[in-house]
Amino acid sequence: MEQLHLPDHRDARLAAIAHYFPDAAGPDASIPGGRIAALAALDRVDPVAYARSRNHLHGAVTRLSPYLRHGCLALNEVREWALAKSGPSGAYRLVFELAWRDFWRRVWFERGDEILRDIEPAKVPLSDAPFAADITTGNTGLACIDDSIHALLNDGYVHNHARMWFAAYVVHFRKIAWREGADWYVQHLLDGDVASNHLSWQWVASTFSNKPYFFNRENVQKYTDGKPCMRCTASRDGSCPFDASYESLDARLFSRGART
Amino acid sequence: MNADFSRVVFLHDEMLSLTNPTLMAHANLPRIFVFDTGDDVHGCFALKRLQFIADCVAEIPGVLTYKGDTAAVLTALGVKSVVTQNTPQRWLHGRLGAFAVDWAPEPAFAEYRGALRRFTPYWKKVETALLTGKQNPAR
Repeated sequence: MEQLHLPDHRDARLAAIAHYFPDAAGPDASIPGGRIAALAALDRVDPVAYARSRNHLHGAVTRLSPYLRHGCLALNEVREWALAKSGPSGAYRLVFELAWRDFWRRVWFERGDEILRDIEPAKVPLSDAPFAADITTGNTGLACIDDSIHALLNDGYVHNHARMWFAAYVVHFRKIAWREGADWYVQHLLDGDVASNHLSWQWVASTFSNKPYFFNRENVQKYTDGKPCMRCTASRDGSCPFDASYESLDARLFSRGART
Repeated sequence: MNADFSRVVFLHDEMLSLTNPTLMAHANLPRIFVFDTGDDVHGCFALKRLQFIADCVAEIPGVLTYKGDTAAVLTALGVKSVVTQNTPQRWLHGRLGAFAVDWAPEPAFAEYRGALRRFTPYWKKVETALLTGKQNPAR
């Protein structure tokens, strides 16, 4: 075993961890850990603005998830803070989302590692194509997807809506097994938590939900102001796989093939 | 190494706050954190995540931090019994299997004892209590 010295100064601490873990991949942490940073992040939260804009990629999201994951903040602490600041009505959406986290965790406690496998039969055909390098490097050629991969690899934080798009892209558009995607994703998230992550992937895949989650270009445009599409080659040359109605995507994605 | 490590607080990666109830309730015990190098634990983490965790640990006074296999580290320190916060992370239950463990309950968020098949039924039963602090008789 090796005892580690964690310097008080953050730059020195980052360097020390890089030294202690030479095989660990990726850049330094751009988001600071710890309760002091957590309380500062909590102080910036506006529950009312969060409720109004949380689905937009530039909305007033809390960015508290890494701190909740590591216990720097407790769920109830955030709930009580939100209620004190905005009241039951203003805090409703934030408390609702905190409850999702509690729900996933309860499922994990109850089922243990069963959550790593399909909880229910899929409601649509799924498949198990190989997880590809263009995904793990953020070179799919689809700006809305590559943006979120770069955020994941560089910062370890991805907006929840972008996480859903990415999971749906991997599972339904690329026909990769959800477990492959979930296992890779959780390693890079600062808030990586098997319950919230893997069960959300199952929710997207439809193995822990009543139907699959998927999206189209219109949805991306609505919640990004169309910015990724404006610089996306696929969007310009007509090859965007998301540029269709939900009805036609449903037919294209789920009418053929079966899970092996 | 002269300190008595027969009983310690094992700080795992879901309880990284100096205000953690289990940590505060056992302030007299040595505090141990291990970056577990297993592929199923921290061995697969990206660098930034290890650094984020290090930020958290560094803020908590008196934590002795190690790198290695959790069970091997605790055995080498002479640990016999452990206090830690309960977790659904199965790897930790496995690593601590050879020690006497007091699993302190994690802070509760909602009072709920029903089925966990879908979120909506759960939410309907906890909603009132979570938003008003009043007990929900439907739970």
